[in-house]
Amino acid sequence: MAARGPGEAMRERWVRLGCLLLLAAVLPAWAQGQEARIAASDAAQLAPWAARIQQMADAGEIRLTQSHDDPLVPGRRHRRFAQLHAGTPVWGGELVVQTASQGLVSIFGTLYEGIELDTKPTLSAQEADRVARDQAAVPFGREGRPELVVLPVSEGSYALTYKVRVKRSGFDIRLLFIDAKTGAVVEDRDDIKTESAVGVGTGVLGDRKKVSANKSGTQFVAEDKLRPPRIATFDFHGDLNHFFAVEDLFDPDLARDADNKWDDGANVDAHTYAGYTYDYYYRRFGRRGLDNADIAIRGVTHPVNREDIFGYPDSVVFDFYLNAFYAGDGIMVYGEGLPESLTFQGQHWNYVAGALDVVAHELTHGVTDFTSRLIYQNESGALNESFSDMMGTAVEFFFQPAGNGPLQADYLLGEDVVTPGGLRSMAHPAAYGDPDHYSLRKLGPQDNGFVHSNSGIPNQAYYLAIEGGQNRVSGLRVTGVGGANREHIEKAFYRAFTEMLPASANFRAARAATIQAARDLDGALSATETAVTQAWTAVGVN
Amino acid sequence: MRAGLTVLTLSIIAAPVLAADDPPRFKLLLSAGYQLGTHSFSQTLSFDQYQETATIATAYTADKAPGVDVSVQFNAFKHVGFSAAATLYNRDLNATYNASFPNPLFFDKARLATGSVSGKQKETAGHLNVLVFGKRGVIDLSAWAGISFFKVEADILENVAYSQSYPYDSVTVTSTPQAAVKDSPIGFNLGASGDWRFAKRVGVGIQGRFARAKATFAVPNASPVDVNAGGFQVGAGIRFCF
Repeated sequence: MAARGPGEAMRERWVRLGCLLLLAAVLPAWAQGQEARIAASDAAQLAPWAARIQQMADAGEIRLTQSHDDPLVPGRRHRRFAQLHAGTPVWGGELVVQTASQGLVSIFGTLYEGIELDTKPTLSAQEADRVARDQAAVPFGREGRPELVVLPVSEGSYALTYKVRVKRSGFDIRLLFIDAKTGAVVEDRDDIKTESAVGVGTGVLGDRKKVSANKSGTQFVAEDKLRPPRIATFDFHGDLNHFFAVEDLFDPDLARDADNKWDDGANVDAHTYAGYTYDYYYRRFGRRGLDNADIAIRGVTHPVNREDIFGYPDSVVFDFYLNAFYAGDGIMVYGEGLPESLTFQGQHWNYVAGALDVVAHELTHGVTDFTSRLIYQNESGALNESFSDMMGTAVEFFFQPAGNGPLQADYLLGEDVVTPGGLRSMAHPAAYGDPDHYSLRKLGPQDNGFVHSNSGIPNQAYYLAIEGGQNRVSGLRVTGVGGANREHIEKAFYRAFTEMLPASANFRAARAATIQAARDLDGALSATETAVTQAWTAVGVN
Repeated sequence: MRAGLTVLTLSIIAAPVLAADDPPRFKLLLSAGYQLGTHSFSQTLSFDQYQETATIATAYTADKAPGVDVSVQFNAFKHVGFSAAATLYNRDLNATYNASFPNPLFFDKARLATGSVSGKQKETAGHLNVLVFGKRGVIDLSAWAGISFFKVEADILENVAYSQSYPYDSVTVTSTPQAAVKDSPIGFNLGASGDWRFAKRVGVGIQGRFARAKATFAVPNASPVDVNAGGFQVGAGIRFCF
């Protein structure tokens, strides 16, 4: 998976130089009494810190607070050091050090230097406790006992405070910092660490929507606490190497926002549309997520930067710029699109997460993964793709008004982000070079047996079953159930594709299963069964 | 109100022609009262929730209520005196609310809840009056008007607490906490009484009083609520003369 482009070595050298420059910038700032953030993970970056850590420990400037062996990588050890000033902990000052037998592997942390503060408090801990209680608050939990800490209050200035965790009426958990000299409350922070917080975001197309986020410390992260499964969105900020390096998706990479007014459209849409898709499956079919047991749904955005496109090989471009894919285990990866000045085959590509049908399409691959497991090759592969198109379109119609413009439901796939025209059409597959009749199906090894093209045949059947009309090739007419009754067709196809089809199903099996499903749901000779039967016949699948 | 004004006017007109035969210097009037009429007011709470505005609109009706009316008259001059009175009425305060709570996941898909709550509106008032008095046959008549100092306390809906669960199509109201609010407005009162003494110092009587003040309640998350206090009160009771 770790593709290395032709400019990789050169890029690595630039990265190293950049890191050295960063360290050179950080160290003087630190010495001037400011906050210094440390992120060192290669030899050049780590060299100055090996000796420094020891010096700081010897001088009592840091104290070991945690140490344990890495449970995942043998031979690695993790240690946490709290920063001290004259023996008093500095709030937020910490070094996290990873070591191996050969030495340091990484250091991350934040240190505050230049603290000139008398650490002898005027207030006793009991008096601080009383101040907390005067704030209509009751000390809460094991951190409810006042603890003397040095609090960085603004750049380069500090206050000696008592930190007390308290609870106010309701379940308002706060972290109070009480000035240890005057008794004034220096800071009063919300300290519920997993608080659902509904924010507002602007999507890729500029539309405004609610973002189900989670408050984490002073920030908000793209983690949906309102829906039953964990729905989380991870922003890799264009760092493909980091994305390749991670063995799983971890909280530090969660997309985040300072004020819960989200303005990164890709993050907003990847996150909200995953929720919408969950909602659709729940409301329409009573299904609880991809595995029907609320498996976590995780989306990855910004795996690359648009401006870096020329530094990557084609494989990266096609995977991470011009694509979105389901990576298994409930993980979706959304492509970055193209710089505005570029087109691919005459089309502009916006952030792929900005299309609701694309997000629902990818998540539906997850549903297939947990149900029929349609083999991703030849006709079963085309059915796999087609079912994702059907559900992608169904989700669009569920949440958006029908129409031909942006953010409107239609039978095009990806039309909101791949402009003009989108990627495929269920109504007119031939207009996109895809077969709309079984007699025109493509054979050959390309694209696993043309799975993305031959999907046009069942796509056309699905479209005709709802909207009715005439197949271009056979000339046969279908009496569709009508858009107002699309729910019946959606349920018939969902039932067939999730409950009845085997992994190796072909189009003929799909015909039989969907007709049976229509009969199961709405009865023999029902309008649903008639529409489904006519539709498959019209596209030449008998 | 019109009846009260009529009684007062007639009493004032009639007073000069009444014979003041052995008027008592002081009179204590202890009456059981009844506050006639209802009054209504409304209140709308609104607050930010899920990036939209939640609203709770509540309509209140304060019912008729029994009460007590205690008055002391000081007949300072031939037909003119002063009185001080205290009244207490405790009304039932019934309310219905219509609440609209934003959906946490989507704009413009608010969940609605309706219900009713009940509480009390307690009106305590002190009245300082100038009065005229006289006698018609065996009946002592008096009429008065003056300033009223009210203390109005009411149970006002403070919030509608609810529970919700995915997919958040509806809410289940779990509690309707009420806040005890109060105000001390100044208003007026006027009234008249007719007493019959069956002994030299003891008698019985009836009375009517109209009192009015406008209380303003400050409620969190809502504009101040103006509430009428008082109304037309009738009473009957025992009289002691000194």
